[in-house]
Amino acid sequence: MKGGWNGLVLALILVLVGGTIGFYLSPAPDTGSARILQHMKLGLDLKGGAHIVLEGVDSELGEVTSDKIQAAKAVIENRINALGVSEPVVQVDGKDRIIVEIAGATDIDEARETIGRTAVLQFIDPEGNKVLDGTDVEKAGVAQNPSGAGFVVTLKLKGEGPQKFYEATSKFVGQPIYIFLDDDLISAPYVQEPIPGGEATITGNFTAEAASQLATLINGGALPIKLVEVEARMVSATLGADSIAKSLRAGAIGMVLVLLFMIVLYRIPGFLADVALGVYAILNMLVLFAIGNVFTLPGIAGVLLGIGMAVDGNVIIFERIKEELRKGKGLRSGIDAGFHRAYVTVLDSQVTTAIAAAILWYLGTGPVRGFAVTLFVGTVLSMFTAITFTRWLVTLTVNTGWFNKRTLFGVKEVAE
Amino acid sequence: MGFLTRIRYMRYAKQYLIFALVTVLIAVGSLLTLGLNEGIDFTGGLLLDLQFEKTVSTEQVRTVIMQATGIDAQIQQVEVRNAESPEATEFLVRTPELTDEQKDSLLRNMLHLGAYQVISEDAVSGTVSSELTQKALLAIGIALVLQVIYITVRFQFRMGVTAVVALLHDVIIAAGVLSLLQVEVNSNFVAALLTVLGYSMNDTVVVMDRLRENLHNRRKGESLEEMATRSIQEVVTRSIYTGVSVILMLVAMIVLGGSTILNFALTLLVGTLAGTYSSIVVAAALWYLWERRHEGHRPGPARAKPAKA
Repeated sequence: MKGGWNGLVLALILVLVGGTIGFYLSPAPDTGSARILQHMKLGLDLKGGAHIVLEGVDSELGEVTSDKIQAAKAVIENRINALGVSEPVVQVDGKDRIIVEIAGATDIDEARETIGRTAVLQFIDPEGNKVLDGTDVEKAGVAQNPSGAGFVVTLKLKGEGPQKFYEATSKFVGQPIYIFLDDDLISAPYVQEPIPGGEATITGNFTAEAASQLATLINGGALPIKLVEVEARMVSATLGADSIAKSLRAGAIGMVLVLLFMIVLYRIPGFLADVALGVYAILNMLVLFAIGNVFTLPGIAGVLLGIGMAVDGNVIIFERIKEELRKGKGLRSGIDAGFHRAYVTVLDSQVTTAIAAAILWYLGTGPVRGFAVTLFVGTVLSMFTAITFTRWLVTLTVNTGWFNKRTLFGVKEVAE
Repeated sequence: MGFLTRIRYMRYAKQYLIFALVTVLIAVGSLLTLGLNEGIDFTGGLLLDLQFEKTVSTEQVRTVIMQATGIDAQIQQVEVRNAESPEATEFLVRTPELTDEQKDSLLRNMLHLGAYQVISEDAVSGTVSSELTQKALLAIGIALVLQVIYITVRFQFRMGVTAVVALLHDVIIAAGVLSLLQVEVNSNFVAALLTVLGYSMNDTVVVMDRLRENLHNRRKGESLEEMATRSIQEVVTRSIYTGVSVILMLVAMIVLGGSTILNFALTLLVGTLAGTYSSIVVAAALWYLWERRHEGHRPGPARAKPAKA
């Protein structure tokens, strides 16, 4: 019997969709939303961390060029990797900006201190001549101070460095060599005897931490240009966790209200539209995961607007079907005519929105782009689920022959 | 809902536009006099969210900042988030841009009030803040032009223009209400206004779509006013149902979403309400009056049949 087959397919779809959604909404820790959250790439506003934007400015170090910005980016990457944080993001923005994002960072000053310093290292002799600079250093390390408390930074020199250092230390025995980092004098040790072999030490009463930070800066190399900080944001992980928990709960409850509203309005078709929305939600997540979308608050707003548009697509179609039924059409032809006519409406409204989303995606920055990506994906998907998929579900249902009543759509039976 | 499908909408087209104009003028007036309560994303400066383990008063925080930096900061006590101690207090501190020394001194001196935690910190320089607005405006401008082109191709030039007028109306109303309420706006506000634009455009296109359809299938002897009114009567139920769905979602966000997304959801709520009625009150009404002039239609008394009860 044809009706039976249709019923079977329908039941199968319901079980599949219901099962998937149930699985992901279940509160148990190893299934459910925890699993989605694990795979979700969250923006810093939702998981906490530091976001710093640096801008290159012309200075005595030279003018800002795109090559130098790239070089500066590489230096910053080195420094951050040495900090040992997980998944730092360093990217060039526009022609003179570098964006640094460090997830989970709680002390923005420490991060800022490390990445923002120009770190020009210079050894100056008592006559004011430069003996060495950062380019002569092969590797900086940390060691216990051999002659006293605290730690020292050891330098292994390369190229002409050892020779230059030996000459200088031979010439100025009994006098100080000044060691500058940027414009700060960090140490001025007296030369006791000529130092061959290309090993130098910076003493300066360092703690272990300070010594290792200095070594990191020297190893990372000097920034080729001067960078100034134009934006710095830090969100603690607790605030992030609080925001995501509350917005997810609010989103879930809002969603349930909308699903109920659809059932109240349209009964069986409303329920089918809810199933289509479930499929929409699953597909939406899959696509966003696949393109590696980073979820931020504006991004979530884009998802919500997408859901709104998907609901709207179904409301437009069902209202149209009702209209056709009221005109006296039979159930099947009413449904066909309704879908056929509403198709154009939904298409035009979605395409107009998709155009705007695409432009914002292309031109926008930061929060605007996060919003545009999710909205674009949501709009394109809802064209499929709200029209094609819902239509298929409704046709299947009608074909079962179990619901052949016009009251199905909330239209009163009319005597004809 | 029955009565909504019987109102003779376009009979009052001019009144709608007068109403829309008055509300827009009020909104613009508020924007010009009160202005928006711009957060540091727009003005530049420093925003600190500090959580103290012990109960601390706003005055104490203000005094410490005054002593440390010489700046009279703007301080606001806020709801405590995720604190372990029940005595915890939390504050938002806003200052103009600080030098590194000033900030260090501020954070060090704050310890006099007991242990605290920096929940969030935002420092934005003036150059970045103006860029954010400019880039967003540029993107919106281009998007609007393309939408007018799309609607012109698929619908009609006059529909494209009136749809965009309705969008501008919605954005001005949403910004105006936020200005009247003096809610602080930040960079997410830009995203919220974009959402309003998206929703409003969607809603307007649906109304325009019906006008287009009925314009092509006019009944015999049906005046433009009758045709436009019938179109609105046919789509008004859908407009309201969709509006209600979105509003259900937003109310859930406002009630449960916590302070981070409160302002965001509030902007969306106002924008959604404006976006729903403006499709009829601004877009359709303006289109109808323009189209009537274009048709050279004699204004005369409407010949619509009295509505059946």
